[in-house]
This record gives sequence, C-alpha cells and structure tokens, in this order.
Amino acid sequence: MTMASREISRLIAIFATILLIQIAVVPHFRISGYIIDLPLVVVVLVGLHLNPPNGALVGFIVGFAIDLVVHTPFGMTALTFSVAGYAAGSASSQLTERNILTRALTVALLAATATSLFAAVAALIGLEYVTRQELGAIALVTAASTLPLTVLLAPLVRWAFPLETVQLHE
Amino acid sequence: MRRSRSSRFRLALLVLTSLILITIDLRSEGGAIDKARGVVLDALGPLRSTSTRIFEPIGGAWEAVTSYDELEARNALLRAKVAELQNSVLEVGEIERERKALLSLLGARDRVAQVGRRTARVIDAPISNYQRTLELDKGSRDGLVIGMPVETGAGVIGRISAVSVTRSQVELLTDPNFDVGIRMVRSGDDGIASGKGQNRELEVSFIELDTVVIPGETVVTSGFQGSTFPEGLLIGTVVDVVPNAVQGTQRITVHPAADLDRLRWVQVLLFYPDAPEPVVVDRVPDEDIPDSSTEEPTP
Repeated sequence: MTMASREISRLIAIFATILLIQIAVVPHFRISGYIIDLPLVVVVLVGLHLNPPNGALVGFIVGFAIDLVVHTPFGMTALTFSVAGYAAGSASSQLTERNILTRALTVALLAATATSLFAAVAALIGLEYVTRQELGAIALVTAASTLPLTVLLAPLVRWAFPLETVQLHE
Repeated sequence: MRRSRSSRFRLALLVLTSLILITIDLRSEGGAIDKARGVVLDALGPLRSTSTRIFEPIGGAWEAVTSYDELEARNALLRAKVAELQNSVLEVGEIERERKALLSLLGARDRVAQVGRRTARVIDAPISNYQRTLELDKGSRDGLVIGMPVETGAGVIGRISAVSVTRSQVELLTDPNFDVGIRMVRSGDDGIASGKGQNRELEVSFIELDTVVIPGETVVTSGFQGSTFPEGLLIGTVVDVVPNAVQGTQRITVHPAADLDRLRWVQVLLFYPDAPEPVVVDRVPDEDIPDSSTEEPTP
C-alpha cells in the first residue's frame, strides 16, 4: 500500500504539531516525574494504518527529527521508532478485533516495548540511563498514558487516513 | 514471501542507517551532527523560552496535584537539610582551610578562584526520559565552548555538551556519558568519577586498595593537564566504599554536592585548559539573579 500525497502532507502536519507539543508543553506535565513520549505513541498509532515498511519509514523520519533535539546518541530514537513503526504495521494485520480498546492496548504494549528497547540499546553501547526499576516505571507511565491518548488522538489519525479505516496490506 | 522478505530488508536498512549514525555521533565531537543540533537549538530557543514562561507555573500546579506526597517529603527533607547546614556552617571555614592546605601540599595552584564565570539561566528541562541535559540561555556569543564546567554554589553539576550561538546544553554529571578526573582530598589519590544515571550516585574507579577512603570524605576535580575541569572543584562526598580484591581497586560511591533537581541559575566556568594562564572574565551583571541557584523550600 502506498501513501497518497494528501496522506503524506497530513502526516507531516500531524507530526510537526506533535513534535512542537512534545518540545514545548509535555515536559512541564510529568507523571510521577516521567515524561510522556507523545511522538512514539503517534508513530505506533499511525503505524497501525500502514504496512510494516512504511510504518518503519515514518518511525525513522520522526525519530531522526527528535534526535536533532535530544542529547542522546544521534540515531537511537530513529532506530527504536523505526522498529516500533514496523511492529505496529505488522501487528495491524494480526488484529482481528478492531475496537478502540484493542487498538489502545496494542499501542500501549508496543509503546512500552519501544521505550524499553531504547534503554536496552543504550545499555548495549554502555550507556545505562536508568535503573531497571526506573525503566519499569517509564514503561508503565508510557503504557498508562497511551490508553487515553489513543482515544484522544484517534480522530486525528482518522483525518490522516480518510479513505480507509481498515488496514490494507500489500 | 518475497514481499515479506523485502519489507524486512527495508527495516534492516533503516536499522543499519541508525547504527551508522550512532557510531558516527559517538566517535566524533563538534562534527556535522553537533552543528545541525546547534542550528535546531537556536531555532527552537525562543519557542522553548516562551513555553517555559507560560507552562512552568501550570506545570508546577500539575506537579503539586499529582505528586503532593512526594513534594511534602522533599520539603521535609529540605528543611532537615537547612537545619543541618545551619549547624555545620561553622565547620565550613575549617574545611575550606583544610582544602586549601591540601591543595597547597599537593603543589597545586588554586586556579578555580581566578577563572571567569558566566551566570546562565536554565531555560528548559529535558524532553525525554533518557536525556540528562539542561538548556541554558547563553551560547557561543557569550564565550561558552563545549567542555566548560558548570556549577552552582554547592558544586559541579556537569559540563557544556553542545553550544549554539545563543543557547547551550549541559550534560549533567549523572549522565552515563559523564566522566571526570577526581582527587580524594584526604589521600590525594586520583581516580575517575562516572555518572550512572538519574537519581543515582557517581561511581569512582581506579582508587587502589591500600588507599584509606572513609564515608564523608570530600571529592574534588583533579584538573589533570588537558582536562576541561580545573583543579579543586567540589564534586561530592563519599557515601560508600567497596573493595574489589580481584581488580585491586575500590568501588567508591559519591553523592553529588549540588542538587541537580530544580536548577534555575548556574555558573559556567570560562575555563580553557590549553590557555597558559587562567582567562579572567568579570562576572556578568545579570539582572535579578537570586542568591541561590535552586528554589527555596516552600512552607
């Protein structure tokens, strides 16, 4: 499935807005001291409407943009987001239940896994950013915040993909 | 099947590209990636400053609602610390005399006092759970360069890790990337202190087994030649010592002297390690700079 130019332009608008919100607003509203990863949630949500390679590509581009802003090794966010996008694209075809709760739980699981993957990749190159306990808390906060965010952001994602509500795979 | 293989190949390509970028970033300093980040830092600077002004008070109220118990506990801890500091204020003069004497004994010049300082405001906090940096409102046009030490009145908090024209980023000493040469004040032995992540103590390595290290001992920067830190900056105090007979060294845990939470104002030391003499720059008369770099505990 290829993306139409209208879908691409809408995705660019969505991600530009989400990135600005993440940079300017989200850090001021922490949950138990941890920051919600809004772009990751949206990458997974969008990935559920795409095939795996396109999901990975969207994740890579968004991650690349975030890597320009955060001071972690350049490419680490791109790496984890592309894997998250690919996994979301793959998961979509496996989902038989397409109600909002199933979708939200899937997004929560994938987002929590992706944020843990980031910490794991960091640990592999000798950068232990957080303890296991903190990682658990971050994954939990990410998953918990994903549930309401999926509901809130669903109309936005539907707007990006107006011609389809069901994933069509190649 | 072919499509599935092709899609996995495209994912592998993206992962490989990411790994190459990570490797380039880790192996180079001041390259194209740092320059690109500097440009983005400058471009987003006004947005982040404005959003901090707008959302910081609201965020504070949000934190008060969501973390009331934690704030109460922190407040009690701060009050206890204030009382403790009041009791120990008389000891400070003696400790300072001891520090100077030891530095003198080591044949060192106390360059720290002569180094110019630039006061900077912390304009934004990290945007990721894995980021250990702060953003300052001073940049290369204020004389800041990568590597310069950053401190509060209490001690070192980190070093400048990225600089743009108007902004800079501070890598906190709890960042796993952070390493600095240190000296145990009592014994004069040198080692390396490394960050171990948020809310975790620093770990000092390369201190030999026969060196006597006691909890409460002061740790300062060693200022070896070429180091971006001058000698004698306060890092923290020893909280734990575990001997490692196999390696013949001790694993020493150090609690940072400076409080890394809720920083508002910091000082950047205009220290140029290659300069023959310390570069002395007058303190910048910033407006409305509070006495303390951190917020006062609220009743």
